[in-house]
Formats: sequence, C-alpha cells, structure tokens
Amino acid sequence: MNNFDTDKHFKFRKLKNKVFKYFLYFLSSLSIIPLILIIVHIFKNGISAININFFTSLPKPVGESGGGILNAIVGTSMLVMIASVMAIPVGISTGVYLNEHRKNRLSYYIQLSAEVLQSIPSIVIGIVAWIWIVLPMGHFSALSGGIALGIMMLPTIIKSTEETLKLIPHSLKEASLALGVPYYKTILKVLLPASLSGIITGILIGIARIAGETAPLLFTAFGNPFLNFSINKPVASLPLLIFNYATSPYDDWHKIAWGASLVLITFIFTLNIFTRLFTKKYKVKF
Amino acid sequence: MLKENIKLLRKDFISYTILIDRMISESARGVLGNSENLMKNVIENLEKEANEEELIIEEKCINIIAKYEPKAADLRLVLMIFKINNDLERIADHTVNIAESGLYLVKKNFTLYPESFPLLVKNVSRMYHDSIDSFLQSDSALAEDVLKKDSTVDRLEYLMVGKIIRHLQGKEDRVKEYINLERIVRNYERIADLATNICEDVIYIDKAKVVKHHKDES
Amino acid sequence: MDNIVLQVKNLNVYYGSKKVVSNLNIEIFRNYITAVMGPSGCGKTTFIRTLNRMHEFTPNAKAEGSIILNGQVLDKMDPILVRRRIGMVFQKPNPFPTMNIHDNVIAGYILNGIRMKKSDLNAIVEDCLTKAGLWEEVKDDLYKKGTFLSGGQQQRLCIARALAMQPDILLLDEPTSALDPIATAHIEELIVELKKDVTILLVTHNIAQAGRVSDYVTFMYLGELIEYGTAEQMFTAPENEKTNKFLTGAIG
Repeated sequence: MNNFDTDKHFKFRKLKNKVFKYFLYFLSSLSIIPLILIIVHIFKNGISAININFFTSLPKPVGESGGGILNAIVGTSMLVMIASVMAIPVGISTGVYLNEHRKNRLSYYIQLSAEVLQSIPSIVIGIVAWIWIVLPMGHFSALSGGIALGIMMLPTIIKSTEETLKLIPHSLKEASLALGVPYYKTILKVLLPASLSGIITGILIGIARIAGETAPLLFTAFGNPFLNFSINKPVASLPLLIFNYATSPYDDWHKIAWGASLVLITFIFTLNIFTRLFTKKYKVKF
Repeated sequence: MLKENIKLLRKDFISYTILIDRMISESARGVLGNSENLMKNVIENLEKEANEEELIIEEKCINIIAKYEPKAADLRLVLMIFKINNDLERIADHTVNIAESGLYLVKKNFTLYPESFPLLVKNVSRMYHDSIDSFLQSDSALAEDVLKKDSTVDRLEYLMVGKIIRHLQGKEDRVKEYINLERIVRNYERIADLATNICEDVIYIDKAKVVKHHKDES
Repeated sequence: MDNIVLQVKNLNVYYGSKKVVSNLNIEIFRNYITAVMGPSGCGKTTFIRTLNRMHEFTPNAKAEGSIILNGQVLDKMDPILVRRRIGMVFQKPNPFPTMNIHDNVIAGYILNGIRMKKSDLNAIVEDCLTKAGLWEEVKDDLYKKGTFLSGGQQQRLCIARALAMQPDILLLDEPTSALDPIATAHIEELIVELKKDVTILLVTHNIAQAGRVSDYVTFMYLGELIEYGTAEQMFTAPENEKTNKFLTGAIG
C-alpha cells in the first residue's frame, strides 16, 4: 500500500495546486491595473487644473490663462436630462411590455431590436440623429444630441427593467389581481415599485454610459464655447470638450482637457458607486 | 379540531356511562325491592336509549379516526372508547337480562334470594363505578384494584350457584324460578367481567401496556 | 336557497383545445369548509381559479357554463367586483414586499384607491389580523415590512389581506404546501375558526388535511367531479370506487 502523505507524487501535486492558485490571483489582479494607471495618470495631470474657477467660468480664448468648463458641465447636464426624458418612459414601458408578453411575436422583435441597438456603434447613431433631426432643423442642437444619447440609453433601460420584472414572483401579480386590483394599477402600484431598485440601477448605468459619449455628439450637439440653456442651440459637453482640447496644439487647453477628464471620470465613478449602494439598500426581498 | 372532537366524544361517552350506571342501579333496585316499574323502565326505555347512544359513539370514533388520524395517546384513547363502548352496550344487555328475570320472579312471588346476593350486587356495582372512574381519571391504580376484586365476585357467584343447585333438590316445581335466579347471578358475574375488561383497557391507555391475559407476567 | 352561496352548473374549462374541467356541477354551502381533493393535474386549481375569474389572465383559457354567486350570475358581474367578493390565498405566501404589515392588510383598499378614514382602516387592520391569529404576534411591528415574517406568519398575513375585503367566499389554493408542519397546523386551526365569518373552499392534495379541516369534500379526477359529500361520509364510506382508490392511495 502506498502512503499518500509521503508520496513524492502527491507533494508535487500539492505544489501544482499552489502555483495554479497564485497564477489565478496574478491574472485577475492584472485586469485592475489599467484602471488604476488611468486614474492615477488623470489625477496627476488633472488635479492642478481644478479650482473653483474651473467650474464657474467659461473657456477663455487661446493665449489667456485660466478659464473653466462651465459650458460643458451645463451642456452635459442638459444632454443627460434630455436623453433621460426621452429614454426612461419609453424604456420602462417597453421593459414592462416585454415582461408581460414573453412569448409573442412583437416582443421577440422588440427584444431583438433592443439587442441590435445596443451593439450599433455610437458614431452611427450620431449620424442617424444628424440625418433625422439636424438636417431638417437646419442647425446643430442640444435636442438632437439628447435624442442620440437617449437612443443609446434605451437598450440598457429596457433590459434592466425586463430583467428585474422577471425576478418578481408571478404570485405577487396574482395577489394583487385577486384583490380586485385592475391590471394597470397592478403594474403601476405593485410590479414597478417592487422592481424600482433594478430599474433605477439601469437608469444610472445608462447615464454613466452616455455621459462619456463623444461620437454621437460630433454631428448633433456639436459643441459651444458659450453658455447655452436652449435646447434648440448647440451645446458643449464634457467628452466633446476633452476631445477638442486634447487634439489642440495648446498646452493650456491640454491642461483643461485633463481637468475635464478628471471631472468626468469622478462623475461616472460616483455614479457607479452610488448605483451599487442603491441596489444594496433598496433591493426588495421577496 | 382533533382536540375539540375528542373532548366532545369524551363528553358523549361520559353520559353513556351514566346511562349504563342508571340501568345497573335501576335493575338492581328493581330486583332487590321487587319493583316492577323500575325493571320495566330498564327493558322498555333505557335499553333503546343505550343502543342509540352506542351507535352514535361508535360513529364518532370512526369519524375521528377517518378524518383526523389521531396519533399516540389520542389514538389509544379513541380506540379504547371504541372498545369500552362495546363493553358498555353488553353491560346494558346484561342489565336487561337481569330485569327480565327479576320481573319473572316478581310475577311468581319468588323472594328466596340467597343472603349473600345483595353483597354480589353491591360488589358488581362498585366494580363498574370504579372501572368508569379509573377511566375518567386515568387512574390505573384504581383499575388494578378492580382487577383484584374480580376474584371475590367469581367466588361469590360460584358459592351462590352451588347453593341454588342445592335448593333446587326436591323443589322441581320451581325449576323455572331457580333458573331465572341463576341467570341473574350469572349476568352479574358477566357485568363484573366486563368491568375488568374496561379496567384492562384503562391500564392500556395509561401505560400503553397490555395486561390482558396477564401478558406482563410471562 | 339561502344556505347555498355558490352554484356551479355545467362548468367546462379549456386551455386552448384541451379540456381541463368537464361538466362540473356543485353547490357550495354557506359558512362551511369545502375541500377540493384530487391528484395533481386533476383540474382542482383550475376549477377554483374560474370561480373568481382569475383564469382570465391565463392565455387561451376559456370557461363555459354558469356560476351563480348569491343569486348573481358571475359572468355578468364586473370581474374586479367578483374578485373582491371571492378572495383568494395562494400556495406560496405572497405579501407585497414594498409594503409594511399594516399596509399589506389593507392593500386591497390602497391599491384600489378606496379612500377611508384612517381610524376605520386601523380598525380593519386590527380586526383582520386578529381573525387571522396574527395580531398578538405583530401588533408592535405593524410598520415593519411583511417579508420579515416567517412563512406561516406571511401566509396568515395574506389571509388577513383577503379577509379585509370582506369576501363572501375565500378560495385557498393549497395554502400550506410551502409551510412546515407547525405552521400548517396553525393555518388549519385558523381555517376552522374562520368558517363562521366566511365560506371557505380549500384546494388540497393532502388527504389528511382535507379530513382535519373540512365539512364537505369533493373529489376530482381527470377534470371531472367524481364525488361530493360530507367529510365523514367521504372518509369512512365513499360511494365511488375511484374515491375509494384515491383515499387508500391506489391512485394519485
């Protein structure tokens, strides 16, 4: 009989186990290294640009030092708001429809389109928005940018609404219907509140996704060095501003681009963390 | 549910034991006091009541077992009531026999009861009372006492039957009367036997132990 | 007849082309518990779901025949009203996870937008929780979420929620199949208590439970009502051979 404990072969197998384990550790930590590098790099370059002035003033012409990104912050906020107003009601309704009619033909096509929409390159969406909205209107506008972003946001909201609703036990809907609650009230007052955390998570992820988009805005929101609150006129946005300034030959503008990157990344980062906290805290237990 | 139904069954059962008690005492008082009315009451009214009541209790036991599937102590209780119920009905039959023979003797003006006869009646009634009490109070010590008394009753019966046979010599004209007297004595002895049956069942409910045929001694 | 609360005549229920309940006739007696027994797939759940027209939410389901509730034809009533008059409790406890215990009891009022004085609503909450045997256990936690209760308590909360609508009939669809034996015993006692307030139809595949709780028992097999009688008669001497086989474990 072999004594496995002292067997040489057995010892070798143990060693192999250990090596494999640390190899896994190494590879998995590899994936967070780029993120850390990016953050450190942006932080190092961008922090010096950040001061109160940076948030409250408009960009200055080339050659003048200082200047801020107020126009871009306002613009991005407007774009996100327009996109949300467009995408949230449509997205949630679509998600509810998909969950209610899982097997019919229309919902199959809707599902398919949502998936395809998600994989369409953002630049293409920008071009489409340009053809549909900018050309008929005759000029660039915040509205067209918002709609382009809204289209990008749509699949995320549809998917998250549908997935959360799917998790709600069917018995909950029956409980409400059996109390004589009409169908529409059952959806509005029972199903949607119960899936609120998932839907909001979807919205936040959607916002995080579009807040950093540049491509669809190139032909729609276009950018604007001045402060603008009208949805009918071009607006600036953070990613656009970063793109324009970073590709310019001026050192001052590079600095502002780094600062704007830091602001944008912080915003998206906070949004992600907030989403996590929100899901944890408001997750409905069945 | 089960508990309430068992409670109700117990209540019915208690009133049944009281009815049987009444039959024993009315037939005994009838025989000892030559009272035709009491004996007629046993034969004509009480027996019918007893038969009806027996059926009701039997049905209740079956329904409880069918519907509630009682377990452990509850099951033993229901099964024992089911059995004792049967014993009680037989006791009722014996009291009817006693009353019938008693009536015959009254009609024939026969009063030559053996002198230990009241003692037999007293003993048997006492055994019945004690057996029922031991059941209602789940008092197996009392039940065991009753088991011991059974031999006394057996001896009394044995002596009395011997006496009756001796009295019978030379009084061939009164054979029928003596046979009826013997029938009364024998029926009392049967009641005592049934009382001991009940006590054995009580001990079973209480201790889940079968004392019948002295299984515990082997 | 005054003591008949529900009358079902020639009921046929189809799922698509498949007949699930065929030619069912039954009269349900007021303030009694009627158990619907049968092996799984015999159509018993489908049958009681047609009684409060919940089958209408199942695609392709179709019911024929007449159901009369207290003299009113069920098909001609508003389905929403039907469901308020005939309450339902399901297999798995399903309190509303977003509501606290208090709101769960009066969920029927809240969700239907029925406005009432706060004191009246509080009275309903206390009354129904008391009837459901839950008041003593939760009276200090009324504003906590219902989903923190144990399974048995949740199911009693669901029963309280159904009672709050003051239904004529309560349909219980295997209400204890997801509960442990002790919680089951609690619910069974509760059901027996409740029959003085409401007529109860209990679907169960648990023969022993039907025996313990019910006054009347129906036996369904392959969509047909095989036998209907008092629990005593059905459990001691059923007339139909199929019932006998089912009760002795030979079918189902």
